[in-house]
Amino acid sequence: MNFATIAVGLAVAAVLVFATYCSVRSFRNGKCSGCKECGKCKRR
Amino acid sequence: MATLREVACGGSAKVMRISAQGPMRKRIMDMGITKGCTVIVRKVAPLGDPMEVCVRGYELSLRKSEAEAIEVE
Amino acid sequence: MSRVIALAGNPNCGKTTLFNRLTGSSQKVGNWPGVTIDRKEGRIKAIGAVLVDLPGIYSLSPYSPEEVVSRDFLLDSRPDAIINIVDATNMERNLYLTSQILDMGIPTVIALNMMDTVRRDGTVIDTEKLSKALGCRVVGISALKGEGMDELLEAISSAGETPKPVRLSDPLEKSISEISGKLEGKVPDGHLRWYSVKALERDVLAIERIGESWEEISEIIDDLEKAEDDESDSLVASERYSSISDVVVSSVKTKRASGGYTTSDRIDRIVTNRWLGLPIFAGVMFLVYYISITTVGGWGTDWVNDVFFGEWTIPGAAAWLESMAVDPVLTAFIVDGLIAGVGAVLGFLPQMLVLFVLLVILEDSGYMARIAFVMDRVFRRFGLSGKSFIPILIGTGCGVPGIMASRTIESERDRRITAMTTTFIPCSAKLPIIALIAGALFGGSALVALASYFIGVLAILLSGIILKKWPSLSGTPSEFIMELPPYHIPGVATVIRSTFEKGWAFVRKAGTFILLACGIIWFLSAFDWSMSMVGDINDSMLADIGNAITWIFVPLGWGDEWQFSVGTITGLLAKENVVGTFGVLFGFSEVAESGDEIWPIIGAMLTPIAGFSFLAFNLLCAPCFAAIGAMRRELGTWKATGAAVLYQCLLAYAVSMVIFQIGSLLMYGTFGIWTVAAFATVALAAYILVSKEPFARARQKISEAAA
Repeated sequence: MNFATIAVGLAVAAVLVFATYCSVRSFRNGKCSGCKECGKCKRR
Repeated sequence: MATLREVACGGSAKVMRISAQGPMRKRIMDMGITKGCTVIVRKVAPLGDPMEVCVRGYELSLRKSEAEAIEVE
Repeated sequence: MSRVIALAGNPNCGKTTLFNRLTGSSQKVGNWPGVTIDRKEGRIKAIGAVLVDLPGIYSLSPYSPEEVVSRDFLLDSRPDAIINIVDATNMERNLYLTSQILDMGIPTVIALNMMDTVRRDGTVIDTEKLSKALGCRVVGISALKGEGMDELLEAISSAGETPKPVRLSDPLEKSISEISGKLEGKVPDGHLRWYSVKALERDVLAIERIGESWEEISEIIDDLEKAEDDESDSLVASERYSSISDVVVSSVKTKRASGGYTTSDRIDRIVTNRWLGLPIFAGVMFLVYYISITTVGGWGTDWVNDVFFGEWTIPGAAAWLESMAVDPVLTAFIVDGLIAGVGAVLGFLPQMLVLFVLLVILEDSGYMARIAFVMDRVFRRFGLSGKSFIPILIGTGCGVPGIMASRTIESERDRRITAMTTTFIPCSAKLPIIALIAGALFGGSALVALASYFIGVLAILLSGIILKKWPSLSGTPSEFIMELPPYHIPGVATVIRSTFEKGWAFVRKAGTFILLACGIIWFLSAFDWSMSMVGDINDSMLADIGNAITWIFVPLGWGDEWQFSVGTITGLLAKENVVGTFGVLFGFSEVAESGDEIWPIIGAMLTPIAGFSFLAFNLLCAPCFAAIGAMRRELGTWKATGAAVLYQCLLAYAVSMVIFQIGSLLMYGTFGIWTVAAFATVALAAYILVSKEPFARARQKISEAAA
């Protein structure tokens, strides 16, 4: 386990957490696919 | 009594009566087809149905079965 | 308490654009009680009022849910004012609704929209004259361009007078006052005119509210009908239009005589021509896919896969990580898992972008409305109307808005059937799967894409027949009356913006769901149950999971290798995952280095027929979770949604099996028990299609069992 591994590992973990957060949030927004076509997105 | 269904492409007719009842009747009248107005038959879609007509200045699509419920002369 | 203002108008008159302009980001979407129609509400900051968007309606009849919801809101919730948006290029029909709104006695301001188009056509509208004739303020605006907004806001703030109702002919007005006399005191004063006119029309909802006074009123109406020799509702409609016509003639001067042929008409003569219409449509769609998948888009994808990922990103990332002596497991996770998976999906971005551009152009130009027109007759044979075609066409982009678009269909039954079958048409997320199979087993032929869409449409049509026979969904086909808007050259800015939005949504999806899924898949495929890395992927956890279910798919031709079933399952999260999963499992990163792609690997594992069967299954089976969620919203209950998904999976299984078994029989002469099963399935399908009440006996058995 060297420094590079830890650094890269943390970076990847951060990205994955963020990805999870985005996925969960869009699921909560009414299971939409984020296409914005229907105008139903809660965030405009 | 002749109905709108029988009017040929390019021909026009004057509406005498709407024999349809209920929701269809309301829809036909709400879209502007009423007694006394002139309807021009533009064309018939591929496969024969629906037909496109011009009424009160704009284009409208009607099924032949709906056109049958509109009596004209 | 802030003022409440209602926004009412015809569909397609720019109401949504105006609503967005007035309320900006303060919109909230909810539901009207009792119906599945959206209720949009927002704040108009400039004047501190709440704006409620009513559904687009042509009239205030008692029949469709949109109209009933609007009537009830205006009568019972009594907003402080109404903005009636009217399309200036279509005034007579729009003012028909206006005349009914004015009867309600609520202060009204007319927003005359599309003034920019009016000016371009050379038409001149005297809004002052219109105002005087209609008895309420008329403000010319262009919601699209943002013109007239200030004047509109000022008019709304100062609106307070009860408007003058549109006057009908003398005999009618006389009958109306007689009826008013009978209704006085029985209905709120402000509503007297509304109820009198509706009673005259024999409006069923009005009659309900009136109660016993109806008898005497009925006599008044009978007298009128005898005198005028026409039914009362026809008289009222005629007279409304007649008065409107007078108003319009006095205040509008057009350049072009109405009734003449416009350029739109000339185009339509060819495009919807009896004999040319369908071939033209087939040709257009083929061209769209040829450009996006086989040629322009295809070249882009090849470059992205071979160069961007194959030569740059993957080797580059691998080298960089190794140079820093990062733990090899982590390196593998990143390169073989995340980058390989997401890369496989993003590789298709060029093809998708080209496709999006073309579809947006088709949609924006107005061609899609013509398609519904042309397809109506075909659809009626299968029990649906051409209106069901629009959600399908939207579904070629993404199934979610496609399913939601089924709301424009009035017939409840057609709406539900359309919602259930819209996802049969390949959405953009399924495109990578199509492109993959086409590339790996069919030499990149555009015919694979065309066949996929053909299968989709066929599935929808046949489902229409089958589902109509299911008792809870039977009934007569809905009416089909629809406007054909004039053709319109799509603005370059609009097309670019739309395409960019869709493309970005695709990338975002890749960066989130798919990234996660690929990470998990890699993990499950690289380790075995004791959490140590495996040399051969067939020893991994994923292989075990895959092997546990893959036997289900053996009759379909792709169950021998577990990777395909795993791919299909991951497709439930997002259809792009199927390709992403393959990217991880077939070592996209490794073969990318060697210059090849995963195509040859798949080519070695499946026969073309098996590949096509796999494609068909993934096209037709349950859609991604987002789409399932959308179906749930339209169908109302989880039970109905579950039934719909089950139907889709069963259909997918049957179709795939038939394709594989009978296809193999024809091409390779293989014959076995499953071939027999396939023929039996075809026979069963034929039986269901042809017989009148195929489900009657099944239902009987079910109700007997329940009793």
